[in-house]
Amino acid sequence: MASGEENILSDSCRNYNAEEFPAGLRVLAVDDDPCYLSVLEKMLRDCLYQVTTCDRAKDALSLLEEDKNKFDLVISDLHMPEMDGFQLLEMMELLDIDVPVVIMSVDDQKEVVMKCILKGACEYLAKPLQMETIKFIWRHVFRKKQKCLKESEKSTESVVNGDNSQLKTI
Amino acid sequence: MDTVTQLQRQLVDYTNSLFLEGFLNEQFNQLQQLQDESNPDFVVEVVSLFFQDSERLLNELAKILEQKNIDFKKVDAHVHQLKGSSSSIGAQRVQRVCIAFRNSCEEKNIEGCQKCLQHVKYEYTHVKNKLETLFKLEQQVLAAGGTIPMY
Repeated sequence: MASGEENILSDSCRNYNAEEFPAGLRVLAVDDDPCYLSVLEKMLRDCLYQVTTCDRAKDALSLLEEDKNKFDLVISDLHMPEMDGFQLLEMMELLDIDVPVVIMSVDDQKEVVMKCILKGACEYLAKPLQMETIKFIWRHVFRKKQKCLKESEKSTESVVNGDNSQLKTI
Repeated sequence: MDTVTQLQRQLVDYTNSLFLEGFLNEQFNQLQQLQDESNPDFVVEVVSLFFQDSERLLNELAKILEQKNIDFKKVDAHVHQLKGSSSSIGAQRVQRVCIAFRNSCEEKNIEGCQKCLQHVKYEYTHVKNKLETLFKLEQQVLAAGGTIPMY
């Protein structure tokens, strides 16, 4: 890739080491259950992901607000006191924090799963998670990166093809 | 049979019985597989968190169910938490009673809830004793110079 093209790619597409991927994936894990949070953290670390844990959705949201490019993926419990998984999804959408979110729960009711997906979760997983599931969680990040790349290529193309409609008038 | 082998055999038999009798399920195996050289006490640490959390939740539940006006939403929230943490270590019997408990909550059945509380306390105490015995047996194997067999 020519360096000129690289510069056009948005920062959010290039915040991981592509060679190591998915090792080094930066995951934010949220769960008010200290027992499960330590199990999840161990599983994520065993996948060579970089893990940050929070026991409250509010704290997770603060970290994401501070710098959304600090994390590649959020994995969050659904039912938590104060702020739950639904509210976290809503707030992330409001604040335009487009990091992929995986929701997990012991609750497996169809309506609950549907509500999560409608609110923007990219995946819903039943607790307790299996190692096999955690191993492939990176695919949501990969999908998003690809989407990002395609969108960047499109806007590059339109500039190169002399389509100035995208450019703001100064 | 030397001491170490005997102790190891005892440990394996005891562990198998916990699975056969439904105290523990596959999730407990997952915990054991996560234990490694860099986290040699992982299982004990996670199970200790489960004990702490459960005791807190059971105390809260007892308090709430003693009230004149029972806040069933609170009861349900606590039982949901207990269901979650018991499922994270594979404490199957506790998890099952939690399911029945949540049904009683939904029906706002006071007597049902009180019975479930007694039942879940019983199952919790039972699995706690079993796990403490398991950890003691593991310590005995290690003290005798053996290693914990992979199940």
